[in-house]
Amino acid sequence: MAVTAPECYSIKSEEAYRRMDKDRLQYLLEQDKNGQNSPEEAAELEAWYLSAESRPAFTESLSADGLSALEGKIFARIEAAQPVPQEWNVPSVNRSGWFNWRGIAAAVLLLVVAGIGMYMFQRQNGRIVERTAFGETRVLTLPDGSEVTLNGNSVLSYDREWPELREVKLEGEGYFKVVHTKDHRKFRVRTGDDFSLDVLGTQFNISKRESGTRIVLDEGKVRCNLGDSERDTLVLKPGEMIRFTKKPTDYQRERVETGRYSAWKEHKLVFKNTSLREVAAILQDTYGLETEAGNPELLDRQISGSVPTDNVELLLEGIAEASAVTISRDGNQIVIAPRAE
Amino acid sequence: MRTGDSDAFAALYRKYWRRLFDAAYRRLLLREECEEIIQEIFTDLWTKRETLLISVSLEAYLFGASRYSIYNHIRSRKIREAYLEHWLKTPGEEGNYIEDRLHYEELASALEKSIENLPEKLRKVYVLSRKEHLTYKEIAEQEQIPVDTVEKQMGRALKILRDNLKEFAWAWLVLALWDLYR
Repeated sequence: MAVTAPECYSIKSEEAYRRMDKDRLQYLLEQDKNGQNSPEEAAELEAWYLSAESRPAFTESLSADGLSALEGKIFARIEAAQPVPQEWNVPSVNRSGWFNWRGIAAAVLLLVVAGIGMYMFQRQNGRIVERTAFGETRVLTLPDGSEVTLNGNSVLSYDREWPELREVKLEGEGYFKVVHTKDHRKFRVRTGDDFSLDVLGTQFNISKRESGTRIVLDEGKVRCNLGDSERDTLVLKPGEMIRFTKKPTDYQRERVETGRYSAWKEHKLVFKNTSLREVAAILQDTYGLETEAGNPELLDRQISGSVPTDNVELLLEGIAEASAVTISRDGNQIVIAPRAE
Repeated sequence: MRTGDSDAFAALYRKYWRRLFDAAYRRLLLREECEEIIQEIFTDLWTKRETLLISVSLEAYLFGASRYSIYNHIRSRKIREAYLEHWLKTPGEEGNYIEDRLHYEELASALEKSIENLPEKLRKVYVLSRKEHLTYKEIAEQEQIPVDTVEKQMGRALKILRDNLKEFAWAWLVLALWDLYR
């Protein structure tokens, strides 16, 4: 169209184009839309359009902040106007979890909590405290009907009367079956002042050892509160494990096979390339057994497979078998030695 | 771009939005309509990103689409009474520049003031993310905090800002897109 731009129009001043009569402009636009415009009309519209180029650029009059406000505002409109790609969504970290929680019907939530405690609870009046001895497992029923299987050397405590929040404190290791309440009351497991997790409908594993704390999520959702629960929360996805040594906020997240972390409940321990050093930590934490290795390098030996936990003798035998060492026991002391040829 | 990558899309937006806005403003002299046009062009581009075959340069395409849209807006002014009144005022153009400019400056200064009042930790994360365009990962490394914490702090900063800027009815929208600057 511009090809035909005739000289006669260029006679008009730019100002004349800019101030083109609105009816004339509307007429030209209608003609253009219907494809009925003559080459002259097309050129006139083109000339009007081009004449506007001499007007000042609006955005140049803005300050840097004003400019970025405008940039942001329009992008927000773009975002709001379309099915946005997932990664643009603002994660509403503090609410979405509970929203899903409400949607879960009549849920029996299984949650496995495994962990080894390192400090004793403060006893309080009106507080129920359950303890297990080394190597003992026990099934407890909570006031709301939830069930907890405690592993050895563990302590579970909770208020006799629960307020709104169902909170239990755990030192050690346990397998929880949490029942859903009609009024959607939260269930929280606390392992320390700086760490707790909220059940969002789920099965998971939490382990607090001297060497660190570990949470493994089988399915569903849990929310971990790292320190200040309002601010530092994180939601785990199925198959994920987080662990930290001291400060919860210094956690690491990774994907794992979840099954082996709760196998103890089925009275077995499942190892996969697990070093004897880690096995020794379990023996210490759960069974109160001190390990001594004749040769420290033996502790780097890795074992895979499962061993029964019903009976400590059988357990030790299984470990010895899997790692091709001999294990001798004297009270709470066990000694690992290379197997004689 | 045709891979549907939202980062590429955001980069594209950042590259062109300003020139497109100026082009539209020169012809329409009304910020509302200009915002709408830029929004339409990019929404359209995103929606069609998988299928769109552009035979000219992307730039030519964008400005062509913009002109088409400008024409449509002027045509619809004729039928929309609400705009008719505005249209009649247009000859005194300069007034609009000032008024429209003020609109954005007011938003910006309200935002700035709110940012200044954020708790130190949150402000730092917000500024690194929004103004210096660092990714969460980069911020986490620089500040020696976990990425999750950066996310949390950012979420909290935005919540505060939103609460403070309630009187700007659309301010939440601006704040809703913080993610795009990651």
